[in-house]
Amino acid sequence: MRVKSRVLIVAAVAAALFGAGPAFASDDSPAGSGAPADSAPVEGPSPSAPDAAPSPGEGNGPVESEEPVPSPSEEPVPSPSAEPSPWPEAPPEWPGDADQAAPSAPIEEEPNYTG
Amino acid sequence: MASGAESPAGLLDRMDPMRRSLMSRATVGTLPVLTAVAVLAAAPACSSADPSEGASEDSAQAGEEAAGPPAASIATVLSDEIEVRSEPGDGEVVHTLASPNDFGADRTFLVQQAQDEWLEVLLPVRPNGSTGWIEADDVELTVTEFRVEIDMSEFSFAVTEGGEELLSGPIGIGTSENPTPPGEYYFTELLRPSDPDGDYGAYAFGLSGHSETLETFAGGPGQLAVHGTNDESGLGGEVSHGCIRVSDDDISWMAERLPIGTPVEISE
Repeated sequence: MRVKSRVLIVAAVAAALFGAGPAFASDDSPAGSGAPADSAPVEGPSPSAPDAAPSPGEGNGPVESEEPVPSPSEEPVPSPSAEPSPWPEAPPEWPGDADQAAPSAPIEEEPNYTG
Repeated sequence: MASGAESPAGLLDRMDPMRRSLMSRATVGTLPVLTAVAVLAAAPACSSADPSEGASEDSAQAGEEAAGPPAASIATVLSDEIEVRSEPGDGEVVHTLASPNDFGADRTFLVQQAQDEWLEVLLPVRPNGSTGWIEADDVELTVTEFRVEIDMSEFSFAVTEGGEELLSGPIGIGTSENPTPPGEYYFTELLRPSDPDGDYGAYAFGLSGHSETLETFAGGPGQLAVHGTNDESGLGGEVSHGCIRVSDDDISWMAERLPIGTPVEISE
């Protein structure tokens, strides 16, 4: 009883972590071996392969390839609308990593402003 | 429970009862725990993605709550000179400005907009409000949330950061003969006069604008400024030749914090 419980617990955890569905079904094989036994050797194309040959109803013509979706042409970013605003709009392609401007050291010069 | 059989269960039966009870209790208690762990591990990770709330909290404070203007972008010239064109790309070269400027400060511009690799900038030339286009590769970009708002009708100024007012005070403005022209400007340099008790006070921020009545003044080109004063009794009146006068305490506060390129909006 306890052994089965342990096996079930481990199997449940393994199934949850690794998604191994057959782990619950096989009690004989230890957990971890996920390779199913080869039931039949593969010697050629599967006889039940539906895509091996085209359907006679559709003819033998080449498969029409869908037209490639044209890639959208890059258009220049339109300039922002000139709405009246007391402040200029922030540029749309602004570098997100621009540094904060820092105060500068004053220049020892005599001003000649209008005063 | 089977007893007597040489199975793992039987072995447990013949073990110390205390240890057996602990093990059994552990086994029993472990099963739902492990099952819960397995279920949680198998469940797709659900991330309640609300990064916008936390990430934009600061921007919300700067933008939505305070309803202030966006941060200003400042372009500082990297080389010895820069060509300014009338249009981005193949526009005519309308100015070639040296860096540093006449006072020795790095040439800076206040950016108005960007288009591809070109920047439209406010120019420190006449007429006031002139703009031109420069190549983004020719400048270093920085940002500031400081702004100076001057209300001449109220004879007052305010310094804001991200829409939040940090400082305000009285101003002196130009006389009717030499009025201060309203408009949008920016700080072009910061000077410290040799005499802090002189007409310009402790500090003077040059502006990108010029007097519309004085072509020259004191040997200069009639450039406007925001500067201190040695006569604070003139604050609140029309006393200057176009400059904005503030108290020495206020200009000193600005000098310690405001970068070159800070936008200055002067309204009537």
